[in-house]
Amino acid sequence: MEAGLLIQYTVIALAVVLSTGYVARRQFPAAVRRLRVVLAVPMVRDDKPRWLQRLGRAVAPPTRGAAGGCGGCNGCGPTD
Amino acid sequence: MSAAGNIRLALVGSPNCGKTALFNLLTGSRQKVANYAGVTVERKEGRFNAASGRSYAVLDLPGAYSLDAASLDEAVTRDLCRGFYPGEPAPDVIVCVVDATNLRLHLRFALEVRELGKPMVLAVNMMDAAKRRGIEVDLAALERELGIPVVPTVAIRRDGAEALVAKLDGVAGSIHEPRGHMSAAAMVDPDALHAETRRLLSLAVTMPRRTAEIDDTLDRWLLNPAIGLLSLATVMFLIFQAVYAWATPMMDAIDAGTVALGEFVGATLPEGPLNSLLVDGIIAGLGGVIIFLPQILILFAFIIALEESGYLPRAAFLLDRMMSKAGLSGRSFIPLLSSFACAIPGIMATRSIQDPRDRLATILVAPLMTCSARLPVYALLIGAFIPQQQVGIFNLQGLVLFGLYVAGILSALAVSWVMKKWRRDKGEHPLMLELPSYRIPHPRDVLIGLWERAWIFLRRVGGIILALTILLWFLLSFPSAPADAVAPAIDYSFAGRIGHAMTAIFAPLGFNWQICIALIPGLAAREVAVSSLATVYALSAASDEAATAALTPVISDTWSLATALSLLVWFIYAPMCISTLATIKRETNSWKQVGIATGYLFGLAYLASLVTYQVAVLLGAG
Amino acid sequence: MDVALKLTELPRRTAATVETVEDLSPNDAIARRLRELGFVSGERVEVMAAGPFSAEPLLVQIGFTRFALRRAEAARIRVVRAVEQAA
Repeated sequence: MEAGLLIQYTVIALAVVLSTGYVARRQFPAAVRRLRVVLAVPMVRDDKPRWLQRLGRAVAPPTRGAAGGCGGCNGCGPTD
Repeated sequence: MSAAGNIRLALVGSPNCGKTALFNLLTGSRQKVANYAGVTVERKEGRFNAASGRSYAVLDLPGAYSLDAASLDEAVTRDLCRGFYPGEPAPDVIVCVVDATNLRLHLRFALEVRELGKPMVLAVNMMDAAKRRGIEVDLAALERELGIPVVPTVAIRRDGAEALVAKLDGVAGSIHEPRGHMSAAAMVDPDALHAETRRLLSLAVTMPRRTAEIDDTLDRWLLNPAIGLLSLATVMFLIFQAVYAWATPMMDAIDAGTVALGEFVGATLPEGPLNSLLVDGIIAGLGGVIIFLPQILILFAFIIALEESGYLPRAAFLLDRMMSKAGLSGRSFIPLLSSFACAIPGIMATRSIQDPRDRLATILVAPLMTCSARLPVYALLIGAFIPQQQVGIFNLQGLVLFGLYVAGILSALAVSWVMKKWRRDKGEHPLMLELPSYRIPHPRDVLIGLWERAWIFLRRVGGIILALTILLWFLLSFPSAPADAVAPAIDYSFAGRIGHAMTAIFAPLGFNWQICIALIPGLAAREVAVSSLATVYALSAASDEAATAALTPVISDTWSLATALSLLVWFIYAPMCISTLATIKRETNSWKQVGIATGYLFGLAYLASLVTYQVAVLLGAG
Repeated sequence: MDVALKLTELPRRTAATVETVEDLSPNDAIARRLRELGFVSGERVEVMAAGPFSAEPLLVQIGFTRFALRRAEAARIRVVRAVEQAA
């Protein structure tokens, strides 16, 4: 596969992955949070290498305040 | 106490005192709209800098008739002023806004706020309207009697807030707590506040006898049973005519631009998947939706102007009886009207409905109000299938669009009526709706409102619509056709196969596989159905120039009228918006209600579309 | 002594003064809200118009503010005709 086509496919793959992440975050915020927690917990264990722990902390979702069932102050639909 | 130099103000007042116009005047477009933590009450914050260089943070609190809260909005206002609201610091100064033309009602609230004992300034708004009506307000006397600083404001004039800012700046953060109080005994007596209000009015305000002459004259006509309803229908109808007549030139310009851009990019970039993603996916998809922005803006210009003019409660007055018979209340009118923009804030606005049964009924029918996201879908189908001709003096396309809106409204009334019969409730449903003075809408407020709307729309385009368009393009382009393919390449893609599978369920409705596949991303946002159709057809186009052609002529050539009608009807009912369903869950805190809403809406959609399609085919439109 | 009318019995565009707001049931929230909105004794009140179907809701002007009230809500308000009130 020539270089030009490879670059194109890479760009496309990136766009698709970012779009999927965006849609998932917007439509299913709670599920995405849970997924991130599930991925992050094994990564930040003490016996894992430092770079993995740093990655795990980055993957983990930001801590959320007490708030009730809503996804925070900006999750209420088209006033986005 | 706030951070260096940053003084926190809270704007409070009874509804219709012009508080929001004052907020707009002070903060311009430097506003942030969100929600208070834990509840879905809107939180509006803005900032401004005074001439002295000091910066102010302003919170526009929900309007409240009384601190003795009867609704959630009022409870938030009350708690925040007291400094009790979790997560929100107490304001440094409370600015209580009152309507100079209606001091008898508003001063009572100001007295309640004064009793909180927090530093406070009274802003007497609409001084211009008061002067025009011959109402004279002695501000110095008020200041003396109330023991708090009193300033005039005219929220609709550019310099209308100068006195307020000067006063806030001048005393440089050392605004005193009020120097006047009601006696403790007096506070127990509910009439004491009114007595005190009357005393203040007699000292400080001179009202001419016929102060509300204009209101009275207008109401004589606009609330008259026959003329009132007729004018309401006429106003609504004219709005829809204007939407079509005025938007067309702008839409043509956007269309030409999109096609030109698509051709340019298509020719410039080398052939290949990236070219397809950009031209058939993104440009075609986003262009297909952006073209409807002029129509949305024109519609909203009218809705905002009507809101500002004070006419809407009159419409609620005329429709109340009919709405109560259907199981809604006149108070549902404004949340339902907001739902014409988007059901989500409309459903949230039902928090001002005190009666829980009315509130639930309103929430469940709000999705039937034709929201702005349906407009691109309707506009597309009307543009493709309804001829541009005149019926008498009326534009046929505008007539059909109006008809679709009416269908949504009538369906909502019917559904609500059925729910009322089901409930068999006999209780009392309160109304108590204030009819404020008529006002000429100020162009600045209308423009700010329009700008917000346009921005919300464009953010959706650049956000969810863009993301879904990319994903859909991907699903439609891969896997590519095998070497011995006979059908168009698109049939072999993921989305193509799914679409074909779905036609098993949707063929009786006249939906072809392209429509079926477009419905799936349409679940996230209705307009995405339009961009999805654009992408699907661009990708299945036989030649290059067919690919960049606009969507409208393509579907008008390939679909039958029956299919178009059936799809229109589908969109009247189907809850193609997961966010709305999520909002219903949040507001009712019940999966059962969400289930009921989803079930009945999809059920109605399927049934109505089925009937529409089959009847249309029978009549020869297939 | 004049008998206090219910607001719903007052003819259109006839000035009257509010006497009291009656509770229909103990702790009547609607009555309380009416009082807060300004329906207190001594205030000038007038019924300006009525809705197109079954004369409901009523357009009531209290002082200089106008409200749309249901007949059931307005029935809680007792008034005395202004013209009969001696100086």
